[in-house]
Amino acid sequence: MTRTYRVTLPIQLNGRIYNFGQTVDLELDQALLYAHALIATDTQGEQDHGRYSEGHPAD
Amino acid sequence: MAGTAKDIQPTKIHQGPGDLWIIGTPPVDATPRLVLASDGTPDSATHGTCVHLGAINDCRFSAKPTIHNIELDQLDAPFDIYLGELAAQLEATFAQVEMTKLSRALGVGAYGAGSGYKQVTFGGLVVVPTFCLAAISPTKEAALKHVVALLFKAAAAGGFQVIFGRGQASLYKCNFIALADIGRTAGKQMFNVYRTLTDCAGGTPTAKSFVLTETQQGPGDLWVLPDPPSNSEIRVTLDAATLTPDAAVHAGSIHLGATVGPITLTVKPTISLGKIDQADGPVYVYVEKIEASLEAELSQLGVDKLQYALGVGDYDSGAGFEQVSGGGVDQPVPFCVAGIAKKRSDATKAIVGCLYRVMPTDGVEFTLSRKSPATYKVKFTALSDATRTAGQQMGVIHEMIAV
Repeated sequence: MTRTYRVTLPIQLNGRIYNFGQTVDLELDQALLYAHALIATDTQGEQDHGRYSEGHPAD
Repeated sequence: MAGTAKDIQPTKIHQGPGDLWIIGTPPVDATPRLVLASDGTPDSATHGTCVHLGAINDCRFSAKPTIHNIELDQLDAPFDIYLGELAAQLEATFAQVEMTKLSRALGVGAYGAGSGYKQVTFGGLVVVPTFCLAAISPTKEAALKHVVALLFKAAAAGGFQVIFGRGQASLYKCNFIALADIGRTAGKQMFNVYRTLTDCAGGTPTAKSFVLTETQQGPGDLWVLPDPPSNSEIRVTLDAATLTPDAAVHAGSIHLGATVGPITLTVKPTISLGKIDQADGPVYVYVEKIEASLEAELSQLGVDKLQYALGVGDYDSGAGFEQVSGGGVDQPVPFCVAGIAKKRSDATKAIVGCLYRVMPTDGVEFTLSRKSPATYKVKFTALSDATRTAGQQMGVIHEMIAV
């Protein structure tokens, strides 16, 4: 099952570069490789001046 | 008459190391402080995914206002003052040569990982990531009380410089600049420095990334790769046994010989700070340029190597001679260089810094002397390769990891 993550640090996945602020749909095992650079957006959404809420790939 | 008590409290003199953290969910405006878990790390239940930036050698907070005097010719001294700008930053010397941390230090590099490798490519990204950053240091009197310096919205501005050398560990300085988060209340838009007066307790601790095997030290080798990594390969393919360029993938690779001192890979963006008159701090950041280079001091005066150090020479060899001649060629041909070093903690694995398209920029100079060898310094400065994907147009640093 995939989840949607917002990119907080540029990453390269499957030959494509996802820049800061973009979203990417990932399987859990792949998201864990990039955990330092992702925040899940489909759990609690955005809050407080555009900063983002909790959502670790492992949650 | 009674005197006034002095306020001398040695317990409030702070001394001790700190940890740097990227804070996933910054503290809200009404309570602009972190919730710390029982071990003094950010409470992940409150602050989400926080990232520890690893072992550091020092950590420095600074805030510097620029005050303008308002003067009149009729008065000896300024009659008032006004704040022009406020600059705040956190600086640290990082000790872990690990790709997620280099990626964070660079900001505009793209991190990638796969089976057996981690990498950071650079060149072509212009959006600078911003994040909340905290330095947390326990007090010397009570390990569960802390001094905290918090930048609500920060950006990496210094890039990194990694050295492959025997003489010293590869520590690299990083700095993070505070932006003015104008969505926050005036007076606390950039930073908060505070002490906690009660012990931290409860909460959900966040694991630190304190991996001393990631501190790098040891010599490297400099290579010219006539057959560079392609836009899809990205990385230098190494022979697993010798940790040298694979002869099939990178045919004709040239080793630049013995070096004196370290090989230095520098990737440094110039970050433009966007300022508006309505805010005292910068409100956005943008990349002006990235400078990337590989530098070393070469000690073999073989002219096959000298030609790459010079860049504009014309190399020739024949029966009884080899030469580099110069003068009359206007358009030098860029080439690819790579620095390759075995990992200190695992000599079966390597760290590689590769610039896809470079020109030597400092020329060559050597001295013929009885007292010292005729070494010469080289600096290969990266060009942008516009034929490559944005984000990987200049180069890559990658490390081999356990599969």
